[in-house]
Amino acid sequence: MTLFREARMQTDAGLVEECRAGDASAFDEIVRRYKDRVYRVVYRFLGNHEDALDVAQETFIRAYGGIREFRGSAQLCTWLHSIAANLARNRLRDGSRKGRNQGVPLNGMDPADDCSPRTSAERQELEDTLQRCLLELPEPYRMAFVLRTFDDLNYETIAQTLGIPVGTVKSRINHARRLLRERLEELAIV
Amino acid sequence: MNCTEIHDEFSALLDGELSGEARVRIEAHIAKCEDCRRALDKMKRVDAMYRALDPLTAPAGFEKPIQAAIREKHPGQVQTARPAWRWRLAWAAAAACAAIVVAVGILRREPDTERFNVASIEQKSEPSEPRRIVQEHDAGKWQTAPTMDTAVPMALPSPSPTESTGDQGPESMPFKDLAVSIPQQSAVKESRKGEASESAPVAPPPPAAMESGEVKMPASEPAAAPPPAERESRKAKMPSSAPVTPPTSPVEIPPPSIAAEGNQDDLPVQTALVPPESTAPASVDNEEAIDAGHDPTRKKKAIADELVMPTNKLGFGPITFGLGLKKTDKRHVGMAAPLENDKRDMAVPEKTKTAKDVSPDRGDRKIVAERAFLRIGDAWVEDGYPQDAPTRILRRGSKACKAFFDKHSELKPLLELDGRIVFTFDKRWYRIEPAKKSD
Repeated sequence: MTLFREARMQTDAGLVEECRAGDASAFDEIVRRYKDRVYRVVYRFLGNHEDALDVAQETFIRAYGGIREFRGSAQLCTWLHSIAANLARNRLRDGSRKGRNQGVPLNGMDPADDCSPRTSAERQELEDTLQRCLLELPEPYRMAFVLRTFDDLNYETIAQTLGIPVGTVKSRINHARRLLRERLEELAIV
Repeated sequence: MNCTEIHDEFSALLDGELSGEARVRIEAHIAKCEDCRRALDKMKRVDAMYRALDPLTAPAGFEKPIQAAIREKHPGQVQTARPAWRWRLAWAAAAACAAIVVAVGILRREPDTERFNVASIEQKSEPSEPRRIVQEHDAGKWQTAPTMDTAVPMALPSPSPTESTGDQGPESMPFKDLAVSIPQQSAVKESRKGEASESAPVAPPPPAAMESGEVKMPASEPAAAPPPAERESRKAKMPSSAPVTPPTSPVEIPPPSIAAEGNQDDLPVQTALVPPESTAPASVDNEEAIDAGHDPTRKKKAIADELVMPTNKLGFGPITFGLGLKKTDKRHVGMAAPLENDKRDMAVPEKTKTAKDVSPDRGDRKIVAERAFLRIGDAWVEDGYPQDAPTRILRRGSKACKAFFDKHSELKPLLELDGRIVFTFDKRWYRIEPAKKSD
């Protein structure tokens, strides 16, 4: 019986079933399995640790509340990312109204301040620059690019996650990269 | 396809999302177009830089707010992690049930087996110590007699009072042997099927018991006469000189079937005590009189009285040690199974009264803490101990034992009893085992 349960716990579908049956340990396993991915995506999208932590945790709380409605037609990670994306977008809008998560305007960045990534500090600065550039992307482009780059989702999965066509995903990602390239060229990073 | 269209496909090309034909076409263009190739290289670098960013992980303690929020928002739905012990416990319970089923099956396979847990008390009897289940009452003479209408037919040997107190048998009987005697009693019952009209069947002890010298009796005393049918069935088993029983001596008598069992001639049967002043109903057949010795009429009446009125005349119902076996009640062996009337008599006031009436120290029986205990081998067993009652074992000197008696200080006097103690408390039966030897 234990082996059977352990086997079920190996798969997302089994975890969902166990969680539906009221096994909190199954949901703990879901959290353990996906927390890094969700947090990473949300952080890259929001660029703020506190907000990212809140949104990521809220993602799992919402997921627990709606686990019974999860039909299993989509992958668990897709479902979690869709929740996270909606929450992150909502948080971004709320933050915009509150003046948060504005990021550093690319126009405000002085190319002279840029340094080549030779040292750790320089590398950290580069990462900050990259993150700031990312935050300057329009939200639709940013989310598609984040899901593709930081969670390595394919276009089909991103389309399911965001509820948009695959062609739109391709277009958004391409626009995001082009904008990033242009901004990083301005900053003499690439 | 111009360069703008090619640029729109760069991401798909980088991500491997292009079909084979489109990829070939774009790659062909890039191979020829320097600007497109340079733009693609920059996009690759940008993508590589972002992919090279620190792979963030959720901070420590990420789950705690989630768990707290879930408990708060969904109370009652959240279970703690399903521990492995729950499965282990389930398996243990299943194994226990299976063991019980197997044990019951084994027990039921044995014909007419009546077991009692007294046998589980591993008593090491002393050969010189006669085993006596029943003792005389201080207040008066007691007789051995079956106490129920289905009591095992038997004849009561009639040793003299002096013999009965000191030399009833060469050996005391261990519990396990006593347990063996139960099927024999049942066998007697089997042999008596069809004799329902006999209300007070009695039978002489088997020759084996007599041969063993367990029951001493005057050879001159006449034997008790079993019913005709029983006499027929036991003709080959019965000695020519049947044992007789004095009216005042409780003795142990092997059931008649012991002889048929062969080498189990040292197995006595417990007998019940009947006050001599009991009056027997007129319907009792004289042939079934137990005692042809001192006062057969009185003895017969006493026995018959016990058969008709299972309740002890002296209000000492629970202490009807002996043949108080109810045919349908196989649980009580060794001590009389209390009938409904007896159970009423076992009410506390009656028992208290009995405890006062009975001498507290009668060698084989003691009254401690208002409880009647019977000496069985090296154990003191409280009256009413049923055969199938599980016992919780406590060892003298153990922490559990100390804790138990500290918690129930009213039971501490029981510890004054030596050897093993079997007693009941709070609807459970306990067994006090001697302390472990230090060596």
